[in-house]
Amino acid sequence: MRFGEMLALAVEGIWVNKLRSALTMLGMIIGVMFVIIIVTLGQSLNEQVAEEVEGMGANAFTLLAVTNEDGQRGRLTLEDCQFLETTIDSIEFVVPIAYANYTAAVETSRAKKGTTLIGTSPDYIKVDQMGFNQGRFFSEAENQVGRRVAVISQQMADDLFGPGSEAVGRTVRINRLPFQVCGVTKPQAALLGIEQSTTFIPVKTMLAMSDDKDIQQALARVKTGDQLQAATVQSVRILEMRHAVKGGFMTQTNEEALEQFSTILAVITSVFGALAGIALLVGGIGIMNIMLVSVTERTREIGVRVALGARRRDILTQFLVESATLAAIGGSLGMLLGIGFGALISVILEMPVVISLGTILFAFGFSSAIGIIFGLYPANRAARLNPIDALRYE
Amino acid sequence: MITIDSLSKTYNTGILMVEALKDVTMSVEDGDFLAVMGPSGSGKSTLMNILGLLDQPTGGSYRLDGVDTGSLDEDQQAALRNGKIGFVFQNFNLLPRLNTQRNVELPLVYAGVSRGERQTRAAAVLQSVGLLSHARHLPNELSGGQKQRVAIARAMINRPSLLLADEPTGNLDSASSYEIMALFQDLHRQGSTIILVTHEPEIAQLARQIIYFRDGRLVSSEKVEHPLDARDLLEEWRQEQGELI
Repeated sequence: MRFGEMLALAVEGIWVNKLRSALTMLGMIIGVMFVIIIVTLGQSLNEQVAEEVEGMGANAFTLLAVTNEDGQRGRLTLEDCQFLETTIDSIEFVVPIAYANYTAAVETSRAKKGTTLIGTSPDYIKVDQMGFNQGRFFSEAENQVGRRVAVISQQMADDLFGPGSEAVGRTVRINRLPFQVCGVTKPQAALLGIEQSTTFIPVKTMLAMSDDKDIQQALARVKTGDQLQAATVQSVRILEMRHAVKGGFMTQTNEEALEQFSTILAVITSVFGALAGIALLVGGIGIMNIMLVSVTERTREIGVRVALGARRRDILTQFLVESATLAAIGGSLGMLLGIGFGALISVILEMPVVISLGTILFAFGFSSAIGIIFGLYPANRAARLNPIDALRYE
Repeated sequence: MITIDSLSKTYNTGILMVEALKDVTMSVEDGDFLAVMGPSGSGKSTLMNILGLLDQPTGGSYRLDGVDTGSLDEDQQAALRNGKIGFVFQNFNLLPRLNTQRNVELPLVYAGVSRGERQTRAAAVLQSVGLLSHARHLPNELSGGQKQRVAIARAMINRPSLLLADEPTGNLDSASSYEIMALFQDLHRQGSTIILVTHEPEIAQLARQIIYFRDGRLVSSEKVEHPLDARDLLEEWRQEQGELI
């Protein structure tokens, strides 16, 4: 019996019991849908982070002060940044980053909002490329004298001055101190849909607002990629000498950060993937169950087919094709739903939509395979039926 | 065509051994029309199952067209069932989901015949049993007699040399029974070898030879000296009905 006819027969069998088939497929639909959603989202997230890291430049690395084994903590100051920039030839620039470990309050007479407050130097926009809707980033001169100027996000400007209002030149209060808005940034791709309301002010202004003279991080960029490794080692060595704290500093290249993120993401994806896999397994068992029912119902049919010349493998194939078709149809529906929902969620979270052919083929192949594996037992049972008993079955 | 030598079949039901066939020896020639009679449990059905290669004997040999069927593997037996043997059952055994034409085509499906040729041949056999107009009907839209005619068309479509019918008229009224027997007689005249199990002596008289089974043994065989014509019986029956009304 030809395969095309087997397939037609299987589809016919599935169609005759529409409700039953639909309910049986539900397990496969849900399982495959979740697998696709999870994989799609994971890939989207990875893509987005990769894009961001790409934007920061592959040649950049982060310097952090940490606590060493003896409990001593390294320190990072503006002078350190200056020193590294001038002493290490391969380093193009070092951007200090000071941030408040609290949510700063930004207010006007109209509204009061919380923000992540970052003090940095104008070089910052070279590593975090941001667009401006109004105005500009603050200048080196403004930084040097510690002027109270601030770069705020579009969302913040809308909240503080009303949508569409001119913000540049106007005054906001940050932690009660008056600042003049010098620029409004374009909305950035929000990581996981969390609107990042960051306010940038000159690092010197930031440090002047508190007693703390230390910064938390520095971002350094080397002139060419091959100097990256050497520059990180050199930087750490110099900082250890300057502060006499061995092991008090750490570097992380963007590449490493990306790798780390990808690893975490892979673990999360696998865990959820495994859960979805269990759903698929349950779907498979559902198919096996219904196929067993189908074999029992069609016992006489099997007897008749054998009497008319069907070989055991014809019967086996007939039921295998039917269960594989059932699973594959369920898998395909689940795949379509998964792609749909995955894309929808990606769009809502403002992430790039990634739909890989590999995932689609995998879902289709995997669900068919489940159909075949869970169809084997019922099909084999059908093929092993004694034709005489089968013909007598009522 | 068929040579059976000391054939026996023993079932082990788990509690007791049942000897369904004991030392049966017989032969059937090409073109024979044989009626098999005997009480329930006499071994008729077992014999038919073995002749139809649906069951294996536990002793003796069965040669079909010179081939020792005991030496064949499952696939070869399936091929013989498909090409050489046609089955007609008491309860018709049409597949309820398939229409008349597709039921009739079934043996050709397993013979690997193309769809186009299947349709042509199905139309031809349906024409010969007078049911071409019912090709699109489902089995539950047919009368008992019509169902059995479809079943005969299905049994004949692969032009088998041996037709096995297990109480083909058992579920039919008299008129339908005569009609079915008339079909068998036509097939016999065209050269088919037919073996038919029946309870009814009147039906058996429409064959050319009658063999009797009792307790798993072949106890007697007699030639039907003056075979009746099923069409005559049908005509007589109709007249009787007319007189009654």
